[in-house]
Amino acid sequence: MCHKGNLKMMEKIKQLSYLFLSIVLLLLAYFLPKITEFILATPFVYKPITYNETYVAVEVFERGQKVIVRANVSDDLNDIDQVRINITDPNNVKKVEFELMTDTGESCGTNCTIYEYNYTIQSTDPGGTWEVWVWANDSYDNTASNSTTFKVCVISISLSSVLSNGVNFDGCSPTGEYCYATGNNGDGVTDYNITITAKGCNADLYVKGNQSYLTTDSQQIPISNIEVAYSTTDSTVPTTYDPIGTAFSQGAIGSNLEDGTVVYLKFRLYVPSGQSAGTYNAGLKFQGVQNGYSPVD
Amino acid sequence: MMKKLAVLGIVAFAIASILILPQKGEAVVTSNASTTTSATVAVYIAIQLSPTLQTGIVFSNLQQGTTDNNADGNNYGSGGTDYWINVSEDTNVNVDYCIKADGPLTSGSNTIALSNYYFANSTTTDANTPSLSAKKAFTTSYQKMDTGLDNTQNEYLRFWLDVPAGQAPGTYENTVYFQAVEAGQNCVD
Repeated sequence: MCHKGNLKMMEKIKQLSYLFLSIVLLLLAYFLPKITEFILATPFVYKPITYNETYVAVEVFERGQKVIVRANVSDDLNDIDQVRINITDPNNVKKVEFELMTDTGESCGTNCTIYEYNYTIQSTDPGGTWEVWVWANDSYDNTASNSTTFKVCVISISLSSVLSNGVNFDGCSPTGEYCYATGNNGDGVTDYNITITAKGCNADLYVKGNQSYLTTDSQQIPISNIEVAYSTTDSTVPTTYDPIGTAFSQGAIGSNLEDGTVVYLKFRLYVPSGQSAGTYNAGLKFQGVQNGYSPVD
Repeated sequence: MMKKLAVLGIVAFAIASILILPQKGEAVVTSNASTTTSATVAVYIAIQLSPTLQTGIVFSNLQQGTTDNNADGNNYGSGGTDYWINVSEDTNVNVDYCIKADGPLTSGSNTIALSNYYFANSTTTDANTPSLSAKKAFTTSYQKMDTGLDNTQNEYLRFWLDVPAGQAPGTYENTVYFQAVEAGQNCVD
């Protein structure tokens, strides 16, 4: 009697096991394609590229210039929901925070679309290296991201106080000899220097005269009689002098200068024999430009 | 035909070079600063003496009791004087010339007073210029001669000496000074 009852119980358990197994198989049959789909359908963001307004790929921009960020985003099921962007300046300030990028409708291959975002660099934006992050998520909330950087070139030059006060040649004799500027301090450390601030790029430095002659009431001395020597490493400045012209291109005094570089300068003036006595005046102009570009007169 | 093709090829290459070779673009990012420059050219005067004057004013073979004896370089009556002064070409102002002597001509304890020693000056010279009739006696302070001369002009000079009667023999010496000052300025003793 007892043995018969055990057999029936065993049979019931066996039937329930088959039922459970069937249910598991049914569930697997239903969800397995979904899981596969979940794994395969993760979006992919290619490394974003920065362009200028004419869609030329550019890595260095200027203030006022439009930066066009483009990212190729792919998804096997082509169900990208959103593509968003962060743009962070060199001071770690988010200038663009999680903004939606525009679907350009342009294809970048099978199940791949180009997304775009435009940012115009403001006149007060800092120079240096900017960071771009792009995120994409699909309808399953799968996400992917990628990043790139671009640079904003900002250059400024700062004259030392003595240089700002003027380059003066005092008590020059008209004997066909050179007269040396007072701030040269002879063979010592010069008081004339220019500090370069160059963020996001290096700078070239130029000097020129603002007119062709130093002039007094009725007399003149050619501006090219002023010569300049320069060094970024020796504050006493080596004695290799070059004439100053009336175009910046004639007066390169530093090339490929990094941020913080100090350019030390000395000046001398050739006073022609018999040059009339008097005080002769002119102006000197200095210009820092992005390395590799021509100066602007 | 081949020549034309070659010329065409060269022209095409030149145009392609201009178009293809990278050109240095004008910078957009610039920073400018300016300053003044000033040069003060000082008044510069450098006086020079003629070669004969550099060797001294010499009176040879003087006799006592004679007047208006010519210095050796005077060439008076025969040609231009060998004595002149001027300023160097790098002198950058017009000048006035001045002259003085340091004292009487002396030989040991004997002297000939400066009132016996004369000069005459002119910006030109010939046998009669500077003229004896324009002579002036030396003094120990500067006397101004011609004025407003530029660095191309000479100041010509002649010298005469009176030897008083009974003057002791000997070689008498003194020093004559010349000075050029900026035109309009006073001589500086």
